[in-house]
Amino acid sequence: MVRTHIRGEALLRGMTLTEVAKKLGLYLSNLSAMDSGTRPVSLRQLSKIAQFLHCGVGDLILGSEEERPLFHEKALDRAVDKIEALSEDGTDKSWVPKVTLAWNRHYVKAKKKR
Amino acid sequence: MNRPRFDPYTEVLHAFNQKGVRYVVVGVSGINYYAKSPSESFSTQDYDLFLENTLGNLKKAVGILSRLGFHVATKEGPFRPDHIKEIVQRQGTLMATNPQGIQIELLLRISGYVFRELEKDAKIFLVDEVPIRVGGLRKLLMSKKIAGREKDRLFLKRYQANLTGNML
Repeated sequence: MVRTHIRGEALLRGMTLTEVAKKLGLYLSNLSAMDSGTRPVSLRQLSKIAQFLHCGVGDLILGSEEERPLFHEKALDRAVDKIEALSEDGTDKSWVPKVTLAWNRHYVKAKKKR
Repeated sequence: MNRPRFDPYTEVLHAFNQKGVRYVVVGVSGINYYAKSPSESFSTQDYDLFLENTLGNLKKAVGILSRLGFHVATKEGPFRPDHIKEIVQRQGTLMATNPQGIQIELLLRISGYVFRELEKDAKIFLVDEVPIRVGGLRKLLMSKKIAGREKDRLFLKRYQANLTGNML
């Protein structure tokens, strides 16, 4: 199923998905499902939406994140996905801003020396 | 009651959470939350926050930063409250700096993603029990790849070298 960027493109134009659905005479639930890739969307529907949003059909189609490689080696992309998957919500990361703060102090000092 | 003492970044995000400012930590500062230890983190001077691009959201964010002693400016010069609408319209960037030199960048646009895309699968990490909303790692790296500036390319090279080193 194709994931689309309808909501994002609408938001960029200051519109909500509800407004797009209303203007195009579509059910919001259907449009929302098309956006998340859980409902098939025809090329005809996509071009109607694109026309309304003044963008190209291509702007509305999103590959899955996995289809957009980050690095040349697939193993590296898999490593990134693994790190993300292992980083659970609620993980304590109290050390991170302290390190950022230390880097900031370093930069401020270096700037003063210059 | 005593106010809990946080580092300046967490103090800002704590206030953002309390006042309902919609933000996601992005950039190298966001990527660092995925590091397992300080040795895996990357140096950065800025702390980048991607804000939902609405007038109300930006006003709340600027108000909080000002109350916490930050001086807010645009890239072009001093920030003027009557320009806030224009900043939202052109999806500009604001820089907040406190007297200690702590810098926070407020971004209304990042390469490759709209706010909702980053927000919907953001990770919630805890810093001194304060929930911090951080963009997904793949999206933060992809945004750098799409931005394609020299500093982004160099960063991705360093990140790749780190990953390769960890895989060996």
